Amino acid sequence: MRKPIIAPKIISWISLFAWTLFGCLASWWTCNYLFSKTVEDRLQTSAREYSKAIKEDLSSIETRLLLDIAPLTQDRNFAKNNLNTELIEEFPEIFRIEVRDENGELINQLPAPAPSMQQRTLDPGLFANFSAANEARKVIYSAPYNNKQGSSNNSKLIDIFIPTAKPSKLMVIASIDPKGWLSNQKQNNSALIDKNQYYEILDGGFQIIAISSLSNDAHLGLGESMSAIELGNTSIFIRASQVLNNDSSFISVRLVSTFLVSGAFLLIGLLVQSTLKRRNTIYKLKKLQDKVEADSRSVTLGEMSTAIAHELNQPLGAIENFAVGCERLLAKEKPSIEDVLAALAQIRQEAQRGANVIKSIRAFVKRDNESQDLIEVASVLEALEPLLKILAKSSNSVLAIECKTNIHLFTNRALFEQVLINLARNGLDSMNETPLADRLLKISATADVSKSNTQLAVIKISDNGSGIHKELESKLFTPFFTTKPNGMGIGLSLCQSIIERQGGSIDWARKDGGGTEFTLELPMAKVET
Amino acid sequence: MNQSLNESPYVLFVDDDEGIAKSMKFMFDADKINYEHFESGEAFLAAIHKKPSLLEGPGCILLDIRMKKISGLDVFDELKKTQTEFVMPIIFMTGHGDVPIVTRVLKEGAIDFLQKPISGDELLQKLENYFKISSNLWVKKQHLISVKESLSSLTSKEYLIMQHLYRGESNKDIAEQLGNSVRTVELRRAAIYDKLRVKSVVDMVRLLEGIQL
Repeated sequence: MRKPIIAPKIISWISLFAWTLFGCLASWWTCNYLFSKTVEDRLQTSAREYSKAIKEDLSSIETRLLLDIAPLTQDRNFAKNNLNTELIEEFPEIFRIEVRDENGELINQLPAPAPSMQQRTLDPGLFANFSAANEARKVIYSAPYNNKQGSSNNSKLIDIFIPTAKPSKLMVIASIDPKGWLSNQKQNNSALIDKNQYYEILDGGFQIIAISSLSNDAHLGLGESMSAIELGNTSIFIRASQVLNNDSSFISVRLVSTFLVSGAFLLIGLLVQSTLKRRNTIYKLKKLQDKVEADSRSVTLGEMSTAIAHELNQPLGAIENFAVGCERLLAKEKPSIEDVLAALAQIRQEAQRGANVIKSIRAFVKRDNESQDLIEVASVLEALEPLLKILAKSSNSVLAIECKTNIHLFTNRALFEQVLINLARNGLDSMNETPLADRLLKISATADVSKSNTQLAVIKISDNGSGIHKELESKLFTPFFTTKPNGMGIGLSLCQSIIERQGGSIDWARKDGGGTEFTLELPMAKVET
Repeated sequence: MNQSLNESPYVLFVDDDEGIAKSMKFMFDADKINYEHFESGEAFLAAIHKKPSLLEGPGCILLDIRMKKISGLDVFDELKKTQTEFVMPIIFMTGHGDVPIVTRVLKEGAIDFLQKPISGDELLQKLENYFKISSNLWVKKQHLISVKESLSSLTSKEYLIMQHLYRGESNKDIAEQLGNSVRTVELRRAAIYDKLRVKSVVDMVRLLEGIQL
């Protein structure tokens, strides 16, 4: 008898799961056979086959669900989605999708529930799984933990919790039982199988490191209940872990097995919880990056607030003046209505001007940094001009934009704008000491062809500022390195990461007679005319 | 000096924002205030260089602090080079966060500031107030100029006698001190009264009050 090693708590459960399901029906007499070598062999073979089949089913369903959910923004549309409908048609009666809000309240369900089955909220165990799936952004499988009274057909299904695009709003639960193994099991109460037998049944790749037995009314811990499957009154809960493949990442395997006393080997649920560790890591990284980018945009605006206030004060002041003028005119004996009307027209114009300032700021903040669009550099610069002008004005500089039309990029507009604003601000900041007459910030965009013969968009941002100190050259793109008293040191490193992500490059050069010129090179998008 | 003493005050305002400029012009027109607008610091400095009498007043100078190229502050510094006292009070128009600048200019002779967005009523009220102050200053200055002009028309001997008279000496005393006849002193005294347009010593002293002789 091998001595079980006590498993350390597995630290992180990431996403790819494989449920290995193994079921076999046997009567009481076959149960005896089970202990013999032949039956064991048979069992092993069939376990592998079943687990393979179920794994495939699960992963295909998971993929389809994930595909579905990624763009999910509105719960109501979700239920109408074709893919979901297909899934349900494919697995009638056993496949069910529920969309719930953050409180576990049922929002929508596919297929439509029978009136009697309308259950508004989730029980605490399921709810915990819901939350966990959404918070951890990973797929969680679970079989409901049932109490002594036994379970309805429904609760024997394996539930898949799929995280949604909007974690705080929606959750999705799908109960599946592709081959009907689970829902068709008989329940019986009898003997226990010896722990040792399980070692032999398991697939060769897994090494069991801990085994624990659960009595029928034992309460599973939250982590355990997530992956435990309990079908009968007695279940055995096995945790296993394994080093897989070359990447030496820990793949934790949860193995849950229930042995029904009738001798029927009911199920081995193998929960491989390794997963697209990569996928999750990438996702987390991306979230972090998005946050930094969004934060940096807010910071930009925060720092610009003085300039923006000034820009809003102008139209406000003008409106006030016109209004006072109107009052004075109208207080006269014979007021000239034409003059008043002219002033009112001006007031309207000034109000529009104020609104435009706000609009351009909102557009800058609101833009999403996910989508990739075909954008024209000239029109981006045109839209950005009011903001850039506000910036230039507040540092007493002149802004010059020279942009060739018809330079298209396939990129994310928000991020591209962020890069331009960051570089422009750096340029403007560097001109603090420059004589007023020389404070010129130039932005130009031209098309070029690279050595490897690809079409490049070349965007240059040049200033007449103090230039970059020799000692600082190497640290220029280092995150959190800054020379500005209130700077965060994010701007340039962010620019670099954004541009490089879009397949471009960023470089800089000293200008003759002082000042710096930053050059962005981005692959041009082909546009059919 | 031929200008009448109650010459109407005017505003010189420097603001590079088109909307603000338009609206101020409209408001000034409605209130019948004379004004001249300059669209930049450079334009303003060029104009007063060409025509220094612009700064004679009476009136007010409204200066926007944030302007392209030459800021209101630069204009102020430039004005200080040529002027020691301002007949036309300088009012700065400032935006949010210009407090340090405001403190500085107030110390250095600017009279007031208005924070943007500027309330039109407040501006007009302030203008009215400063117009009065400026007019008084202007009247005094004109007076000073005319007195100095009159004084410069005195001959050196007349000037000497004027100084003695100012000290309250009699014709006889003056004649003795200067070795002139009383008659000569009397004649010169009449000429002095005539040139300074006064009728008595009392008038003369009052006129010359505060003027360094």
